[in-house]
Amino acid sequence: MMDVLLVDDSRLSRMTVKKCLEQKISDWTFIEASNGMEALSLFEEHPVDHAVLDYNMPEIDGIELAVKLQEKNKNIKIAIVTANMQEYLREEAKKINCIMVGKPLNDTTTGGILEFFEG
Amino acid sequence: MAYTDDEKWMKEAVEVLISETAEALVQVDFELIELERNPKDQSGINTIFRAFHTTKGNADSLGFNQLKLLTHAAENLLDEVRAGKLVIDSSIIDTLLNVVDAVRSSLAMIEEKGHDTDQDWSSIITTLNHLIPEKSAANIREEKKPQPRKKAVPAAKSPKKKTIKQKKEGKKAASLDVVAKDENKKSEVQLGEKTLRVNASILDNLMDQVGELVLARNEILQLVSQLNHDGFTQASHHLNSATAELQEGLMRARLQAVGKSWVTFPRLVRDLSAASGKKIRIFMEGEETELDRTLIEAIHDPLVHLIRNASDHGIELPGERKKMGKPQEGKIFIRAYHDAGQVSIEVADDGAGINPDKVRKAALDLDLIDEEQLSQVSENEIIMWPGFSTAGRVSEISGRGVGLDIVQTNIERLGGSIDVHSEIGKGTTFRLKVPLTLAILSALIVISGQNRYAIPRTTLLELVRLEGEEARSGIEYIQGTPVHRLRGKLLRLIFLSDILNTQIGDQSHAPDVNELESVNIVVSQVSGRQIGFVVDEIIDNLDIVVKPLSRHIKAIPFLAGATVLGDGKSALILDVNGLAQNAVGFQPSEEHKQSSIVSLSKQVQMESLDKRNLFIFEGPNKVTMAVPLDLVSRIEKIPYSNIVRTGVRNMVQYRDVIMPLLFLSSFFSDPCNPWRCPPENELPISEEGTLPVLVYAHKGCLIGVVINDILDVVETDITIQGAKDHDGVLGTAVVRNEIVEFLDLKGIVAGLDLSTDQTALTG
Repeated sequence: MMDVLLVDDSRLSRMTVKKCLEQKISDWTFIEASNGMEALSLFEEHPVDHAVLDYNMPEIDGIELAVKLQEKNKNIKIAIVTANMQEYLREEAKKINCIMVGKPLNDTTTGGILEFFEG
Repeated sequence: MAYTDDEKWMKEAVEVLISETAEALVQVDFELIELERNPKDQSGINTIFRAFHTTKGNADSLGFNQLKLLTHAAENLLDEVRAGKLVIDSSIIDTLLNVVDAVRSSLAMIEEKGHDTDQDWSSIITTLNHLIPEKSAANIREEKKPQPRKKAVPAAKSPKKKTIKQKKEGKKAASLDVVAKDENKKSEVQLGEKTLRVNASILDNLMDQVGELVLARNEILQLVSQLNHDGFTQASHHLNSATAELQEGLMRARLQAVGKSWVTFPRLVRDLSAASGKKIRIFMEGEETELDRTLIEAIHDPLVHLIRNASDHGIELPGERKKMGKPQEGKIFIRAYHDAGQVSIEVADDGAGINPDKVRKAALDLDLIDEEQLSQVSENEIIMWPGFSTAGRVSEISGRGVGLDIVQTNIERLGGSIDVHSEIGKGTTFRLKVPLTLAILSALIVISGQNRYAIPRTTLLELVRLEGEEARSGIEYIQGTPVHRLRGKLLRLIFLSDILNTQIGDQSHAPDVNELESVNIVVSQVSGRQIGFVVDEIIDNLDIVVKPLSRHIKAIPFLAGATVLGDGKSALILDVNGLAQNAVGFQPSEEHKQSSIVSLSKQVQMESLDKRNLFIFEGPNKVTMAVPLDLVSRIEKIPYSNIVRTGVRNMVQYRDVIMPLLFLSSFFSDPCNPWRCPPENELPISEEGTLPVLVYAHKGCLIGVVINDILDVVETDITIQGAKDHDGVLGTAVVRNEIVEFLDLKGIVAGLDLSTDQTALTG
């Protein structure tokens, strides 16, 4: 049983990410938000140890949101997903102890996220 | 049954893709036009970028490759703009607007066929790539090397998942805030309150239930007053206030900002100005004004019509404006505000204004009125008449050509009103007034004869009571018509009892004026004119719950509905507009609205057309034909010289696409060969060298149907019953005393092969 905060401004993206993760482990509970501010206020009610964030979101991007979440829970493990994978983004994520994963997710990348969450 | 789950998931995913993307595109349209106007303000670029970016990712994950390639190219271009490497100019805006249209047609195809493999956007993609400067073109971000992707969306193993769904989508709020253009505010608003997305039908249902509750409450209050029981009285007061709060709260829950449906207007105005050669800019104010959601939807089309009207007939060409000493760019203002429990929405332009002489002349030319009557009506009334066209001749209808009368009818049907102020050379303002909600109506309860009636307060101007001598002398007859001199002006009177007596058998009779002790006059605004309704007694102002009427009673034009009053008895709600028309018949072209019996060739029920707008035109062999107006995208006059022959088809450039032309005369002579262009001397080419063309949108493609002549648009109430006695015709009906054939536009087009007909124009 794992609670995951899932933040993406596109509902379809959330559906897709959810579906990929659920395929690996069936007992996720997803807490969904459509932007950073909403995610932060949700976090107050449902603190979690795992999060999947979209990188490109209005107002607060995935990296900024990750930092803010880490301020609230230093043990949180965060995977950031993006449809524009670039090396410098991977580095940025690494610097703050997150992983950056390309969208759409596939078997390998989903496995990577799980490993990261469980490791 | 993993397969079925998967399929189900995919179906939902496609629905979400379509609705989510469509919503984003509206914002893109809006931001692009903002950007065009003010290229320095780049705040909207991120919104535009993100829309394409998200669509690309989503299209990719669902396997819609063409859509992905298209949005990816747009995203690349915007990335350059974002990075400051590329300066926005009109060609970039044009291309991006084309992309928006292309994405829309892509979504339409996905919705219809479930895939987009037939669509080829390579030309538009090439244009996008060419817009990126050479230097940076080399740096176009290399797409992540295509990993050998396994199935992007694997089948779900277990469908039962617990999901805490915080349904704070933020989307609604976001789209409104885009209008408000205040990014900072947005986050505050979203932080401050939790929003829930609720299915609209649940709210509708709740509203019905609350309506019932209000009625029960009214009954109980009435009973309590007779009982004199302290405890019961107290309890019923409690019930009373709780019900009122519930009603109020629920009504508020159904309110949305009117601006919700306005985001499409800037794009509309841009398209209109591009098509007309006029420079027009739109200004919007009061988007946050709240209104019941059903009303927001209901007034959208009338507003679009008024905007088209302002652009077609209000705003002058730049040259003309310059001569008048006006700025070349014309302005259209949309403004919403609360006004005494109602909402007012204005559509104003700073154009030519309504020229009363022209209007009067046109009305005479169109046989809507004779010289004698002309002095009795104002031009503001005339422009609202069915059959009137400000273009002077109906054959010059521009756009969809719906008359203002239909706008007026639609607004009045909502319990609202419309009025016009115009000043020559300065501009015209149309003001719509609508109630906050449709379900509960503020009404005046009156008595006529034995019965009580409710008159909606929206049309009410004032109440006049004449007593004693005044009552006996206050009503005069001019040529048999009762009038009252109200502050020096003649007010046309209608005795409610007269109409109700003859029409619904209310057993009262028109009073003998000489015996009256007092006269109560309800002065109402009806279609731009004041009418006084004489009633026996005025009882009260009440918030009433509108109950729909049964079908049979509905046919009576002056009844708007029914309600149940506090004593449990029902009362009819009067439609003053219908009453005035019934009694006075002052709309001279009543026959324009009438349609009569439908001729049946065979007893085959084809289609039920319940009060629809019909576009009437002349087809081949001078046959008068009709199609439902909602099938018509636009009505255009296309220069004959613009027609280009490609292969079997004749094409014409229409806006940004190449549109094939279908010749009705060719279709009717040989249904297999509708594309054939008849010889020039058989074509209905006008003096200006144009062909009348009905533009029909089919699966995202536009088809120009060449007709013989544009005749009119009428609102009518017919059930087409008929049979396919020949191809392309659904049946016949009598509209305005004329036999009209219904063109089977859908059927004709369905039989065509259109696969490669349309390519977006590039460059």
